[in-house]
Amino acid sequence: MDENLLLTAETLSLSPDLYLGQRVNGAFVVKNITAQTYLTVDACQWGVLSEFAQPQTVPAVLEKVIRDRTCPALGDFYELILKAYKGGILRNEQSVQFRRPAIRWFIPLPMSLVQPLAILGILAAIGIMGWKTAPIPAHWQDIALGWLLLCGCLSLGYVIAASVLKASGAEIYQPHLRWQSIAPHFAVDLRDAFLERRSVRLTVDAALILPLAITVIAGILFQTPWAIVPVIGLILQLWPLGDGFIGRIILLCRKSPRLDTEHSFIFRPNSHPIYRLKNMWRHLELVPTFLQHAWGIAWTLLAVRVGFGLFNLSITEILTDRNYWEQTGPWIIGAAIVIAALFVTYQLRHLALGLRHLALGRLRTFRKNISCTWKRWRKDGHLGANDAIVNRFISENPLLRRLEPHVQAEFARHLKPYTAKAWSTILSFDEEVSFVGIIVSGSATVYRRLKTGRKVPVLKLAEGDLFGVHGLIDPHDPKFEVCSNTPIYALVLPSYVFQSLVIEKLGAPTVFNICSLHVFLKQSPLCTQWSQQAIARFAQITQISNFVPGEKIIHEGEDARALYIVYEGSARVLHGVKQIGRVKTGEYLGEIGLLQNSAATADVEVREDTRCLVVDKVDFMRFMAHNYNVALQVEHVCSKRLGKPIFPLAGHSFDTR
Amino acid sequence: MSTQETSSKKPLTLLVVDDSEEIRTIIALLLRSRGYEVLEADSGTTALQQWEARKGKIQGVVCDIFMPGMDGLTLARNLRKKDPKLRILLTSGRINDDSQWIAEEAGFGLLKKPFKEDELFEVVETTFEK
Repeated sequence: MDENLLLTAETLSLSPDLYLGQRVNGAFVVKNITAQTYLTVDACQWGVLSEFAQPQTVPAVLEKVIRDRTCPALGDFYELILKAYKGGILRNEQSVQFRRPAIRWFIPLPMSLVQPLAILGILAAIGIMGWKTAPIPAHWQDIALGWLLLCGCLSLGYVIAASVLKASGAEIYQPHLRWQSIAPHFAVDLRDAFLERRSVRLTVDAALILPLAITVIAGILFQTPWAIVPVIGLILQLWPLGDGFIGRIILLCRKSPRLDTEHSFIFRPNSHPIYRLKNMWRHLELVPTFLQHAWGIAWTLLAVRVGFGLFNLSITEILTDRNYWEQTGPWIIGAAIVIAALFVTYQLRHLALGLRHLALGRLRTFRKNISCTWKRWRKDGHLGANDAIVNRFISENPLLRRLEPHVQAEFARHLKPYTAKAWSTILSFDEEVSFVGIIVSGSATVYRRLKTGRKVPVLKLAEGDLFGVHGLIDPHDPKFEVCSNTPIYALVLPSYVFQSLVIEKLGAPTVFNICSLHVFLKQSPLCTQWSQQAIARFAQITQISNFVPGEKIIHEGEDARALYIVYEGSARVLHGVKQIGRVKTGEYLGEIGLLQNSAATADVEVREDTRCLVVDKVDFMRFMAHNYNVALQVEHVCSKRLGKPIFPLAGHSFDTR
Repeated sequence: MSTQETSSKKPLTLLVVDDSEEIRTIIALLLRSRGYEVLEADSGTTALQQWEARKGKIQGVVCDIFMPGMDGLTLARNLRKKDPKLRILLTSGRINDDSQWIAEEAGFGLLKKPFKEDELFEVVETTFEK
């Protein structure tokens, strides 16, 4: 299923075949019994999934949870939906699931018996490996015997773990032989352990290596020639990185749960290196990190000890041998530095990737700006007005591409080349608009004269934008002036032709939306990252409101009812009688109140004649919920303004009523 | 472009993909009445097979967005990868004004269901005969 479609228009419902596991660290696992898939969620995320008890679209649920103030961070929200869909926990009409049957397991083993034995056995095996070395095998038969014992111990470990799990009431799935392993062994799917309480998980994990630990103890104590193979096997089982035995044990020590929305991202924006970095930072816990690193050092020492034993070297002799250290010391130090650097790089890979991505992004923007400026200012920097160029500009222009093909052809026939020097007036306040143009190269500013006589910049135009249209279509019929900022090369046509070919065909509101609002919104800090389609839709749902000096746009304590973007003019933000901020053209206000579903915390009063683009709360929420990129960016700007993540909402501290 | 002009040239071959047999048949009948050569497929997978079998002979695709198995958008993206110039028209009864960007962003035309004959002809002509 296409990701856009799933997150926007698909109707999803909660699978009826779910089982909720035991709560551990505030999280629990949801199991789809039919498909045998698991999803670790917290109470807030389960609340989101529960909204799908009745078939719903994702935007409808997002609107609901924002309204109810139970919305998680949006990155987590979308990740949750995608993973729940992938795991069959949410499904659409077409979802087909295949039942994976559990196997009948006849040997339940009580946890109370296995748990102390397993913990003691593993600790004893680690201790004995550090105390004594295993003998070097004399014949290959010893190695073969050790390997057979290793395979047997691993298989027996699965049998004991499955028996413990069965005794605690969980199901066992998919018995199979793991052939593609250094030590092939029998295995079963033990993921049902995720549903159980902490002690069961710990016992199941420990039981997996209990037989191996006992074999190692016996092998070293009795100095059997095969002992070295199980010892190496146990060392590998205790590998400190990744999701192995130690990783799972350390995970159980975390204060906050490790949810499935925090790793292995499938929602594309979450794969962004910066997001990964922030996510890593957000979920970093000192105690588990310390434990992991401490075990890393201990494991390395243990591995060195076993290695020395394998090559029959004495640590004490080597430590006191000065000649040895003079010769090999620098190499050992060098190797240690390289290993430490590799380890640190591995741990900080997200930071490195994030910084690289950031630097490349900045470089790309810089190069684009330089190249754009160069093209605009150099002589003959523009392209010639051949048919291909004209057709490209028409087909890429959001307004002109709506015209029927024969109208587009007619439009192209009327176009004539036009040039203007930098900082010159292309259309002035005093003259009637006689022509309309499309900028091929260069940039210009559209000014409007206020009632006070002051000239204010309204829009900045660039390549592909139309000029001269604004005076023809503004509903308030004000006068406009267009001045070039760079040398301009444009294609123009008489305004009466534009009137008949475009305005009469598409209607003045559509032309106004695209030529004025679209261009304005493209430059507003709220919308700079939005797609063209999102801006076009946003322009459709905005309305223009006029405010006179002294009038209040927002009243302190009132429910947030709309989002406002200052189109012209300015306003001041007041807390009581004290001014705490200013809002200028292009800036926006009210967005935090909409997302928090709260009341305004300050008055916003107009200083001069001001026009604002107003988007009603219902329209804005629906628009945002249907465009996940927009939602993520709105969340980002709100969090930036607040100085902390806006989602999840922290209690009711924001409510001023 | 007028139908007379179309009829003087070799007719365009369009592939209609919809899991609902009724809707697929009606669209195909209407398009045939306007002189198009029409192929039909009941799923995304069948459509891809038809495309492979008639490589280069299909000039346009009209496909429903919501279908079991491979959805219309995924099919459209796959076909666009094979032929970047292929013109594709998506149809759906569930896409609203707010979610219309899904089709627009990917560069596909969109026809909302239910539609009238004239609307179908207008959109088809704009999409495939530009």
